[in-house]
Amino acid sequence: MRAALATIAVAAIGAAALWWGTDQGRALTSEAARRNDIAAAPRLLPDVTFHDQTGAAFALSDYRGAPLVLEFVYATCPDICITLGTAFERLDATLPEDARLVSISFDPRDDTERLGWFADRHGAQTPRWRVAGIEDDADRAALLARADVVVIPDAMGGFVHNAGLYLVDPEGRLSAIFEPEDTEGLRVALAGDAR
Amino acid sequence: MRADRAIIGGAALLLLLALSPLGPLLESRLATHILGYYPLNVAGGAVIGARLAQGRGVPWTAAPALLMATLTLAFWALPRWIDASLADDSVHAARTANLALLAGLPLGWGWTQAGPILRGFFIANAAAMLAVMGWLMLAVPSRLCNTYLLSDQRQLGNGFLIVAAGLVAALLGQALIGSMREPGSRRQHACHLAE
Repeated sequence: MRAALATIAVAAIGAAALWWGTDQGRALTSEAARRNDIAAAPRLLPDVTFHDQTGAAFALSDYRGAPLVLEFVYATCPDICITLGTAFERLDATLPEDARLVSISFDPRDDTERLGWFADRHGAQTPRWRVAGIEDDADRAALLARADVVVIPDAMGGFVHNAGLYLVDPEGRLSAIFEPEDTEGLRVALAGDAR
Repeated sequence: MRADRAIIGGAALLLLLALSPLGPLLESRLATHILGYYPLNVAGGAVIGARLAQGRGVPWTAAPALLMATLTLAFWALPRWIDASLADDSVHAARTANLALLAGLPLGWGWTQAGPILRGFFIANAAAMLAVMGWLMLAVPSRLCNTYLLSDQRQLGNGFLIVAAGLVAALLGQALIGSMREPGSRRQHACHLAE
């Protein structure tokens, strides 16, 4: 009897801990947790300065007042960034005219020339779609940390990173993250925001 | 005197894991993290728990203690909390304490108090859970931890399957060898040796 009661008590406490630890069963991974967090409480991104594929400098705050979509890539990425680039091509073709796209490289080696490779491959043209690098290491780290983008080196000189399409609202807050394939979901969400 | 050595040994193992480069080394790969770091962290507490249980006959505590250890391990096996413990030092510290005190201690205590049926059930259950997790690690196409590569995940999947197979083999071996003996034969054998 004592054993049964104690076992039930432990099971109840354990179940409660697991319920809490998975955001009520909605987040088994940190990726899911990050998306839930951001959707529940949009995050203001640090106002870092970028340089784009034409060499021009710009800041995140230049985009206030209009919807903005970000993605994080690197110029020599062989796989997931191609998917991300293709997703941006689709968004470029379907989003309203005032929406802007920025592909942000987290690779410090990506200079104007290398950013140009990525832009050329996907037909990115300013001002609609910028491919941007961040000069300052601290700025880059701060932006990645704020968006919870985790970049780890792979075994072949490249990087592995959590990929997504990042919707930034007109106030400059990161408000939602979508799967790279889910351009339609992003388009619908953006149309909903505009209403 | 000898008993105190168990407690000192367990504490020393926990300190070694927390303070030496061994911890970060094991954590650098997913497979050694889960199949090396975790078991050592748990073992540190289990040695102490087993020592505390010696000479204290409270069999009704066995099942809740083993369940507590299982649920604590389940919590910290969630990919979300594996990532979080690497990203956040305070989460890491909480995990170290949890694995030692809420998994290791009750495991050592509960195992010592448990009878053969409960032990067998516990091992069979652990083997089944490890096999399912191993299959999951091999089957899931995407990365579950943002901190580790997909190849790390596959490696851990294989590791889980090997450990599960080892547990089944141990259980089977014990069951087969045990059934070949007459009840009480082990004691008779020991007496015979003593003569």
